[in-house]
Amino acid sequence: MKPAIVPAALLALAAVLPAATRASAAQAATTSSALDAEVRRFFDGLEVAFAEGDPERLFALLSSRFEDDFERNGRARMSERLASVARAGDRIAFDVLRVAAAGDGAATAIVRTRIEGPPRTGPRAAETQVDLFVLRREGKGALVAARRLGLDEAGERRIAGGTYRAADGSFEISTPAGFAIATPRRKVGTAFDTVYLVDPSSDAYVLFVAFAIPYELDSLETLARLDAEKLAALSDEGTTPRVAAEGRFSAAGLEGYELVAQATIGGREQVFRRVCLQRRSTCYQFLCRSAPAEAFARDSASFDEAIARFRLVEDAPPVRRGAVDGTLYRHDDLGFEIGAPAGWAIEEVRSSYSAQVFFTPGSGRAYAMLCALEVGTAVEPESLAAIIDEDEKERRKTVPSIVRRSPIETLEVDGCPARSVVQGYPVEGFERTAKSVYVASGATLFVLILNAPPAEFDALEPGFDALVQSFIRTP
Amino acid sequence: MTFPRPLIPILAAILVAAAASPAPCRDERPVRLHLSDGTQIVCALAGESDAGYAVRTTWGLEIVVPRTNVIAVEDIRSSAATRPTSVVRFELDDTGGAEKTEPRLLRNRGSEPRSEFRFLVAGRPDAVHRADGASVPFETESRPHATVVTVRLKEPVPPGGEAAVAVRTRDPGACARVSAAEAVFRYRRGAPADETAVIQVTLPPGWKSLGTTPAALEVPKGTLLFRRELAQGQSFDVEVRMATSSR
Repeated sequence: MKPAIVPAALLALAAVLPAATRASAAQAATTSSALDAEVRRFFDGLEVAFAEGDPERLFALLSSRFEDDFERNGRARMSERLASVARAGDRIAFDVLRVAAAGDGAATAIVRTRIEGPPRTGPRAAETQVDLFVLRREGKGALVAARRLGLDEAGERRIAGGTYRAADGSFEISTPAGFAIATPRRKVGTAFDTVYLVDPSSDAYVLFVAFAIPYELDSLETLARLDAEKLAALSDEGTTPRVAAEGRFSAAGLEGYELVAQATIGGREQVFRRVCLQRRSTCYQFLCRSAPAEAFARDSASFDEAIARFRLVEDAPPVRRGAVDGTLYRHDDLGFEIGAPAGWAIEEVRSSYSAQVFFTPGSGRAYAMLCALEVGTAVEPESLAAIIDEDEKERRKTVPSIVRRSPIETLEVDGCPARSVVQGYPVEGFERTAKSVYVASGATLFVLILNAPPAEFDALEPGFDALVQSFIRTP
Repeated sequence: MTFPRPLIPILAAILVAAAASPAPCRDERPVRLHLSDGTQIVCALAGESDAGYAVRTTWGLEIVVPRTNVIAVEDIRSSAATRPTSVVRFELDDTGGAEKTEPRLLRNRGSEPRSEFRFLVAGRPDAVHRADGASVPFETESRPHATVVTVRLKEPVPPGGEAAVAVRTRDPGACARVSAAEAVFRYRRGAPADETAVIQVTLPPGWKSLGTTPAALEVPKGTLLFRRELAQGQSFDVEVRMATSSR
């Protein structure tokens, strides 16, 4: 019998494990009917387990490696999310939006979760979330859930026929045969686009990101070398990644660089192939992963296909841009202008912000940056300190050693309330000092950042302060 | 008081002559006007009269271009791309400074009519004018690396509307001195939308060009003209290396 009020722990678990299937005929499946039916039985089983409040039955439907590939400490984070969902409603509904089959009886399912009913405690949860589930048969037994990935609904709407088109229409990326395509909710670093291609029948995947290169790189080789260093940092203690191949690479009419390295992570031998393609200040990067390492030879053809099917769209519709005019930058649509010190290069880059502009003081690894973020409602001055705290908390997830080097200070920028803070942290193996100024102006939040190696910071700070003071709103 | 000299090269020779009342065309056609000062303007041709060509610019400005200033009218109806033209003019002097003349669009994004607008300029503003040469009163406020200019238009701009003005500024540090006899001028123009960017650089009297990047058209002698079709987000960097003629 279904309990009137679902126990909190099970309710929370159900938030990430779909328990019912309401397949939409229109959105269905490019899969064989037998496997499709089995996938739906799997979710029916979850629904029964959920309704009966049987945690053992629920856990039996999970692979031991569930989520391990996506996030470190995935189980701990999942528990945190489960608890928050449990407080947010009393009923959960699931829609299976898309099912795709792969070889060996594996499949992927895109599932929308809805939390219904009044919140039990705390704020109301987000109304829906969409996840990708990878289902795999263990031995000759039934399907189990092997992975879960939270998806970006807006991104999912830009996927059609196995092809993802960028929000600004500037590029397309398509799935190799047998792979599923999805857009993760959680973006990678400063990426403005992230696409995930996954082979449900194996541990192979391609993580594609498009991001603005944050400073003048002397070459893509530098980026590849930094990647190799990052891989070394992720590798198990006592092991050293082995670079198997590297060299120039070109695709989609762009020049790039390729690096293939083998590393031991989490006790597993894995092969990573990273391809970076550069177009002006934008980097398109493919991270292809095979595990175990021996599978790389088999997966390579799919990786090649994924890269070969990437293409730039030349007739992309225009997006809102600002304009550089000598040492000035102005953005008519967002209503602001700013002046850089003489000799600083100005470059606007595409990003997930409403606008993102770099101000580079000559060569080196220092840069200043302005990000404009339209938030929909007026940004209250008293909320700025909380925004800084939240921002730092979020950044701490990827850079745990971030430290605050100054208290939050109050200032005004062009008559707008503002707060500033100085922080220090390592990135890509280098120490950085960052001064951030958060400016509240109506429904737009402006963040100006000076990011520099500590040795250069003091010399550049006056120029940055002048940059901030030149900022005006032109509503 | 001296009569304010017209500011925008393509508008310099243009009379805003509402009284001329050119005969209206049944349909406007996109054209490129090749002007006698070497610049061009892409616009919609609305009509012709003895006085000149009545056109509407891509900014929505309705003007009359005198026939004497038009070398050729190119019909670009069949052309796939009809881009707005932006023109920025620099007149360099031998102190290393420059007088810059540029058009600015003042947009009213609010819900009420507005006559006060502000914007940044590099250097010190000398004059602000409407396209017909009428002076626009303005105030300035100094900022690091820039000056805030606040203008008050006679006629308020309705919500969603825009007004074009021409701004002349003097930037004392526009050129970098290489030596007493040599200097370099650099300028970057970024395109907020697809456009044809025209940058005109007039060398100081008695100076000659040692070379430019990219190549420029020098008509007349001492006046360099750079022109490039820019896609949205692209930048146009120009560099002029120059020396005194005696060198």
